[in-house]
Amino acid sequence: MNNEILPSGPDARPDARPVMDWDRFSEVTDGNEETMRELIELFYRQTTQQLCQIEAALKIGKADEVRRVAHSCAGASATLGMVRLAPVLRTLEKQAAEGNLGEAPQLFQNAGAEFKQIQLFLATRPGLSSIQAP
Amino acid sequence: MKKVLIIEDDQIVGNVYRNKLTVDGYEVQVKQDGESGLEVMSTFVPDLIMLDLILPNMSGIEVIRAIRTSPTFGRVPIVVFSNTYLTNLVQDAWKAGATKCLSKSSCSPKEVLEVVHSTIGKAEVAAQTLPSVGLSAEQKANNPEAASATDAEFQADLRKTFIDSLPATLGVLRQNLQGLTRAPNEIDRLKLIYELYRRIHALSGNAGIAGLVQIAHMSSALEALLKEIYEKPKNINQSTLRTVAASVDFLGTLFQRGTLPETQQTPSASVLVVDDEAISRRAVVYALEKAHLKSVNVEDPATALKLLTENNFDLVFLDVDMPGMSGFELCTRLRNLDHQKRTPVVFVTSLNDFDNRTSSMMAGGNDFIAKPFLFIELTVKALIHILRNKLPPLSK
Repeated sequence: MNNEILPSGPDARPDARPVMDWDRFSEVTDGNEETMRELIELFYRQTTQQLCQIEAALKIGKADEVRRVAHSCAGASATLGMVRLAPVLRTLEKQAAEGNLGEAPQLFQNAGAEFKQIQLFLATRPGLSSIQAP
Repeated sequence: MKKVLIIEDDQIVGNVYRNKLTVDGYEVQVKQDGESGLEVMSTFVPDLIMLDLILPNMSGIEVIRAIRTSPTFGRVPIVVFSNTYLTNLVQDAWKAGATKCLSKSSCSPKEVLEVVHSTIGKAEVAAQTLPSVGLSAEQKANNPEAASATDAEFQADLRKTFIDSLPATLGVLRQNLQGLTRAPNEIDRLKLIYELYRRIHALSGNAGIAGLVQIAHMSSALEALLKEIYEKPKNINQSTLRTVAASVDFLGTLFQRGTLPETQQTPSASVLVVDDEAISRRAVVYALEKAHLKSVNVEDPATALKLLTENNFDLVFLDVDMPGMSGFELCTRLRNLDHQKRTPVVFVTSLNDFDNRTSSMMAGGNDFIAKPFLFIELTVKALIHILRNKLPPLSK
């Protein structure tokens, strides 16, 4: 269980942890390169879509939609061991559940930046470097 | 005379295999840890090594590596005992140079003997008969029917001794668990988790040689969960500790009802997984596959309800937060179906606060697991619910 909320607020300092828990990712894929590729492609596709949904919901102030999509995206990220992205999304989910979207745009930006960091990290991994987010 | 070195810290398992192999005509030495096992090799000069991968101090993998780098013993066959749920450990064993990997919880002494025969051949000379284990190899060769009957007797003796010891074993496990829940600090808690892990490891091996399939299966999954949380203490949390406690509790039930002849196979089961998010859904399916449990997975709660209406399932995993119909609502609706009233339902959610737990109970759910879960934790939960639901009633 990873219910860690911070660091992810607008004033949070840069997170020094690695972007991914590689052990967890290896476990879910059994270290199989083909499975890794398949899951990363799915993660890129799904996360890109979810971030777009969050952005659209933020524009019209739909807190419940922000909460729902952030919750789903956080679950997927945590499952794959994206240990920096998941807490940002959890914070966004928590604040949206309270109807508070005050920090949401900044949190959304942080989530986007963490997603980018994941892509940069995976671009250095053999066998995964050619996968591009849509 | 062909020689077999057994490196195994569990004295019961070590003795059972020593007796079995000795009667079959092999010369056998048993050592209880890796260091003394390696030490005796230069004087004993084994033709085959049987090695438990889970040893105190020096690990089984380190022992294999040490043997494989030895100029004298680098090519000696090494048969290792492991736990099928510890997939990484098994892979490490292969990489380190193991010759064969056997599942300790599902391998009978007879099967182990067959592996020894196929690896280094049968013993050339018959040994003396040990009263506790029956015929010698020569006697068996001359009279296969008697040999088969003796094997059955031997297995029955092992099983009886094991079953007789179960109440005491349960007492110790419960005591250990109570200590764990009351542990005053992280260090003590970790120490108690390690103790419990060692005990469950021994239980898994002993149940395996006694041929008690469900106890062996359940305890080997719990062993893997305990190993995981001991080695990665960040995974010790309310969810994992609750699962450990539920497992020990269920082992108590299996000790009473899982020793009957009709429970000596792992039941087949069909599992339904409902989650609107593909990666989490896949993770649940993956964890179920570890226990060889087949599942149907769907993203849409309405489709799930249709499947539940038309089919029987042995277990259902439900996400809570789904568009259109929440997991709680789906659970309430499936409880209205006559054939699903008793189907175990486990909610998979990060929302594990009290409110949700109350909602889960009111909706008719049986259990919770927190996201992101350890795969082996979900495997353990699945086994508990499936095996429990298929146990025969207690005889009066």
